[in-house]
Amino acid sequence: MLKVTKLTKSYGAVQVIHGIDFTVPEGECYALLGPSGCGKTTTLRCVAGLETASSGRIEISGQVVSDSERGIFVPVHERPIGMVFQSYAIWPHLNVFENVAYPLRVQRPRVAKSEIRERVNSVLNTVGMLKMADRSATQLSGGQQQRVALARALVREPKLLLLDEPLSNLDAQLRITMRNELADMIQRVGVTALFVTHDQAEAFVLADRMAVMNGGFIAQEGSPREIYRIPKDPFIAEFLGSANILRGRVGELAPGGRVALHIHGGPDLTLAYETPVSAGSEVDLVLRPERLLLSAEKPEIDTNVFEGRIRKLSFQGNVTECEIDIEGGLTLRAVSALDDDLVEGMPVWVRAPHATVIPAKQAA
Amino acid sequence: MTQSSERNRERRPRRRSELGLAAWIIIIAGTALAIYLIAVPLLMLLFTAFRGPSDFLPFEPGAGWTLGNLIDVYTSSVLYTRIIPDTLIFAGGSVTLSFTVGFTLAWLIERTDLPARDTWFTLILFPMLVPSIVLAIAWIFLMGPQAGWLNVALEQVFGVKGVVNVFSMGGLILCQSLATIPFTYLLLSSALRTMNPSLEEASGASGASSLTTFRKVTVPVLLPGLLAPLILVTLVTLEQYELPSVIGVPAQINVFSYRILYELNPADGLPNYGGAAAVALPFLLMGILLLALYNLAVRRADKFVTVTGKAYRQRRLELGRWKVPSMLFLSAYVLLAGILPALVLVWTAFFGFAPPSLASLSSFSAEPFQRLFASREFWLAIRNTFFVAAASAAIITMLGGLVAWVVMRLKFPGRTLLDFFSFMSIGIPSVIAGLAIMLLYLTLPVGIYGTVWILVIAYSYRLAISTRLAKAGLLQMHKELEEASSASGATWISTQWRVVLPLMRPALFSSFVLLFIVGVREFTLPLILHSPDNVVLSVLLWRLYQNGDTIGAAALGSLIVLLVIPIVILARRALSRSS
Ligand SMILES: Nc1ncnc2c1ncn2[C@@H]1O[C@H](COP(=O)(O)OP(=O)(O)OP(=O)(O)O)[C@@H](O)[C@H]1O
Ligand SMILES: [Mg+2]
Repeated sequence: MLKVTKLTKSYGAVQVIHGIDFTVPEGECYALLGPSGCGKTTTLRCVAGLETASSGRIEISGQVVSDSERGIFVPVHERPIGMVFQSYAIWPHLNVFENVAYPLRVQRPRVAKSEIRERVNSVLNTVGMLKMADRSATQLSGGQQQRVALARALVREPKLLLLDEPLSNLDAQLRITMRNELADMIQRVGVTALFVTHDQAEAFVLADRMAVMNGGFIAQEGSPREIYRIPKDPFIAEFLGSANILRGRVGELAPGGRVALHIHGGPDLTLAYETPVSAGSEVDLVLRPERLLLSAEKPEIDTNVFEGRIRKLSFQGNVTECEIDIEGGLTLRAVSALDDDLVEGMPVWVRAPHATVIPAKQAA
Repeated sequence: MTQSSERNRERRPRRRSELGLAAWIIIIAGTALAIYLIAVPLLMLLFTAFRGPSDFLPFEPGAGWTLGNLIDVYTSSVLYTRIIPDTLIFAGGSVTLSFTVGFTLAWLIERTDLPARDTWFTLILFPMLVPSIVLAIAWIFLMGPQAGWLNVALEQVFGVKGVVNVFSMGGLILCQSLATIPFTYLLLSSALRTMNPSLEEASGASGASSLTTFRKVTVPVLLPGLLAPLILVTLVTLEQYELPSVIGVPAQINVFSYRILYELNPADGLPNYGGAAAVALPFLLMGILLLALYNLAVRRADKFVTVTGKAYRQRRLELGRWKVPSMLFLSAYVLLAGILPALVLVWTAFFGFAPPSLASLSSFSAEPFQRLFASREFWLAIRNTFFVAAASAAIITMLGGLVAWVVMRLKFPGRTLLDFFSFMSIGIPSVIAGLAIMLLYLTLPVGIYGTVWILVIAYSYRLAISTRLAKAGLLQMHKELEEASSASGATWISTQWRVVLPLMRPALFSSFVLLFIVGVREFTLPLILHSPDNVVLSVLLWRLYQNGDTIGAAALGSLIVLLVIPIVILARRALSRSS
């Protein structure tokens, strides 16, 4: 459906996209996730045709819209896309209905008036804005603007829907509501979508597949679950949510999927691992704070267990965050929803039912 | 193999742009026209300075290259003993006075709890909208050495004779300042408005008195923002022709703008085109230099940001016992610059020269007005004035909007140059523009010389105002609003028509109104280019005055003031939108 091949983009001498490839299959929602300045927006704008790629190929629904080698460049307005902008870009001089009708009004050959009315009303209905069709665009709340922007992007039934940080303009509460609604609406319409975000929660909720970008490269691609569970490197692990990362060396492989792991400057531990490791290799152990189990007594299972002492508790309402000193001056962060029996200074055992080890990057 | 694929990768895709053929034609033709309107007359001027004999047009048969013009002008002592010193004293004095008064007015209206601020604002604006030539004549009636109202009043009250004399350097500086103050006021009040008041409040909260705050915070913070208005006011003062010629010449004051016209129409004989061009060159250069300086100052002031983007509530200083003196100060300005000039014109038109008294009431006569209404020239002048002002305002607004769009939205290498170029019109004194256009269309065989069309073309060199306003409008308009249109499938033309133009309407409206006002006020250009067919109101007024029909001039002046009043209302809307 959307196929991006070896895409690069430079502004003058500065290269901001370093040859990325990805494919979005028909009907899927694909997220580009990454820290600020990593090139997400640039990639999206190249797909839209708002920027000219320096090299590479972009294919939408079987049509090549940009190919540097063949000198093909289809301008924005001829691409089969709909786009939701970060600022929503609702035209203030048109009311809700006219904003949404715009793509049909500029379409050639002309679309009949009655058909425009029908299609606009139907898409306004989908986004729940039918009642406000006559509102002036300047009288809309952030969430309503977002719905109008989505309706406008969908009204001409694009092959590909592009969204640039669609939720970043909303306040925290509304962002969560709209995130779920957006996921619903996109799924209901069944359109293929590519969207950009720097908020991992958004990507997790909305995307079928996602790519984590960093510095103009795609660092890892996969389903949200895969990437969260098994990040390829510490950067991705930390970007997708807080993580304890401990560097260590793998010791003897034991039967039953257990292995001895020596944490540098810290404890030795028996590890039950999910990803392949080889004896003697340097690895990073990634532990998600919310997946750590704390207990006041030594647990019966002896794999993936640390012994430590609670240094500090910080109450955050729904959860309590604990900082736990373990052997060798290392600290683990853990998040617990049940804090009744935790006291600062008490000894605890920390067990990690899921521990991911990833090959350590050699320090350059 | 590797090399060729490497090279392929480097090749940029030929961008089949969303700008279709029609779009390119509009853009290129518009840009070319903008450049033509400014550059070609100036080139002509440059040539003329180096062509001779000096009473020949530059490309007339018989003319050739020469340095004679430059040598004549720059070796003549009058330049060094009269023109340069007079110009410097005139400009220096007027700028200082108008800046001081303008700042005080702006500060009183923007930052204090002065009552009736809106009314003051309108009253201050008034002199800016009346052609300076009307004011000049009114001030002569008021401050003339013998019969001027002020002198008569002083004589009656104190028994002293001829205290004020408008025909002196002091008088000229005073009058010019009175005329420039509204402009200074507008520039400074917008500088004051963008200053974050919490800076001052923080000073107050630190225990500083109002006066200390003003000295230690307000002035230093504003200073970078004041430099740009200062340069602009200097430029505008330097290019003035009306007052220096009407008031300065009888007082034997010779500033450069007058000198240029003098060379064109010397008392004794043939026009000295080459000499006029030679006088113009250094002043043109100075104008452009000042402009470059202005650009620098603006950029520096932008770094010294005082605006936080959020609208804030202005806390106003309480004037307390200073309220009455402040009101008196404002009244004095409004009286001298607006009310008395209007009164003296109307009175003189109906009752003749004698200052108001019961005795002179009997000499009432509407005859001067009847004479005007009966003259063909008067109606022609009205038609021409409004036609030329409206046509040129429309042309400049469209061109300026286009140039602004090209500069802001198209990424091409020459855009900063085009930007400066369109802005350059502010640095070109209207005397010089008029001279250049005269030379160009006397040479080009297009047959518009002497018609209203040459005025439309001449006025249209003032691109800067509309480019600036349109740029500010575009700056406020998020780029994504246009991109959303393209992404909806609209072509460039559709996007411009359906999105950009409607959103720019307030900016374009302001630009049109301001340029229309500038056009109605215009005097120098139509004077230089004037012929029986293209006479405008300001020139007609000047001709009546010069031919000794002073009462007729007063009548016409009163009518012009009457015409300006509805424009004040329009202008208020345009100005409050644009700032
Ligand atoms: N017009 C431009 N000229 C030069 N550099 C640019 C331009 N636009 C973007 N860049 C640079 O390209 C890089 C990628 O920018 P991009 O906008 O794609 O980042 P992003 O991932 O969308 O970040 P954010 O989350 O902050 O929106 C940045 O380093 C940015 O500085
Ligand atoms: Mg971005």
